[in-house]
Amino acid sequence: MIVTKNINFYYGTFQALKNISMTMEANTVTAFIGPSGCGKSTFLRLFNRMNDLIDGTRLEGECLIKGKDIYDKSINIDALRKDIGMVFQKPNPFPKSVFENVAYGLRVNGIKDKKFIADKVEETLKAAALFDEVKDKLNKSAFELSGGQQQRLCIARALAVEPSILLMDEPASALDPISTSKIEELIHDLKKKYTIVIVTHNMQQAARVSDKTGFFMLGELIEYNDTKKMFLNPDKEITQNYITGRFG
Amino acid sequence: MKYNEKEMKFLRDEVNEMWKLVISQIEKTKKALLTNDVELALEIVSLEKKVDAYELRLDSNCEHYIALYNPVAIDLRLVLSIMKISITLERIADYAAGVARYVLEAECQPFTDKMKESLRLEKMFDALLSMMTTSLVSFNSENVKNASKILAKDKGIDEIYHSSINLLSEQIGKDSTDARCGLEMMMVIRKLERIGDHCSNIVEEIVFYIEAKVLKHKGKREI
Repeated sequence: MIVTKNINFYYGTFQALKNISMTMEANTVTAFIGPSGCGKSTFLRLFNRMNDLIDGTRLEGECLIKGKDIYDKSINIDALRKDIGMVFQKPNPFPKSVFENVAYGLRVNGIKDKKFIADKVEETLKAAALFDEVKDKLNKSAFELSGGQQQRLCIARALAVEPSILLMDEPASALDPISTSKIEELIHDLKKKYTIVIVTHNMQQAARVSDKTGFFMLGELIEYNDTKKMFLNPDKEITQNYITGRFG
Repeated sequence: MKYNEKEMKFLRDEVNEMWKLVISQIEKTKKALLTNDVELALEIVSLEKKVDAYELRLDSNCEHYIALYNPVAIDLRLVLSIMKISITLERIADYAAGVARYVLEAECQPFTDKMKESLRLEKMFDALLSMMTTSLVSFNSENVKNASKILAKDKGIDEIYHSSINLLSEQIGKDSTDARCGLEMMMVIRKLERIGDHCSNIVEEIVFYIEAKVLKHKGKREI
């Protein structure tokens, strides 16, 4: 479970997030929607402390994952990022073979048992619904795969180290409709085991894949609701205006 | 199966269950009316709420399907058809319950065997049941080749209905003391005729779903 309490976030003097409190349940898919610059990606990146890498940022409030404040001084950031995988908008496989891309995280974590690694790579590629398509290309460069396959490879790479949470920042926006549909199918399957938070510009994608949706605007969480409710009868008029395309 | 296909299958399964329940309501109504079975009539009336619940559930599930999955082409036509078919099935079940109430409440003598025969009630029910079951098969097999045969049965039902008007008005003319009962009988037959019309509407929805053809309000139905 991810819980945020009164989160304020600043890039220098600019306040990107304003007093955001929300709870994301385990084994659910939560989607963040909103116009560009609304703060949804900034909010997502808080959960594995990616924003720490940007100079001049400041955070107020609490971000609790499994009951622990991940911004507490005692938190080991490497361990945190192992537990909270991330998939980005553009597929970013390493310049290595398909096999080594997935094995990378295991090797970095000190695992040397070849059989264990081989089994884990196969298991993870299957979980990412990619194994059947690449089983004869495991030693080929990851760059030889299609965009959609590369993105599923990145998901497999994130899954190999057994995270409990998967963050996805517009994971299908660079993909064609068939690849997008495969990623969406995958998200549905993965939520049985993982908690997933996804940022998307595509409102219909949010509707299709998520259990709950948060609508952000100008750094504020305007509405956070069950996806079914959000897309049929949102509580706020401003949400309705956004999802119906009346503005934004 | 993709997740949106699973959701669609769920809608299909649900409308199938509702459809079968309404067919069983018509079967029971036939027996209750023809044998003056009061207990069965009570059962029909109590099951009406179950049909209503199906309609509400399908309404809500179809709304969610449209809102979340943005169906297009045949998927959109299917969801729209399911919504309309469920409304129609609910109306059919209302008429069946109306006939059952006649069995429960009418102060008149039950239909005599001779009346039943001359009003061709059994034939009317059999035609309705045939329309309902054949249209369900068409819906599930996505095949409209039987559509014109199903619609032709409605013409047969209309013919029985019109001849009933003549028959009952003749009888009322002969013996006006029993006019009220004659009119009540007429209302029962009218309900069966309306069920036939609704069955035709269901067929129109199936043709719209499968072939994207609109048959509504066309004097001559061309399939």
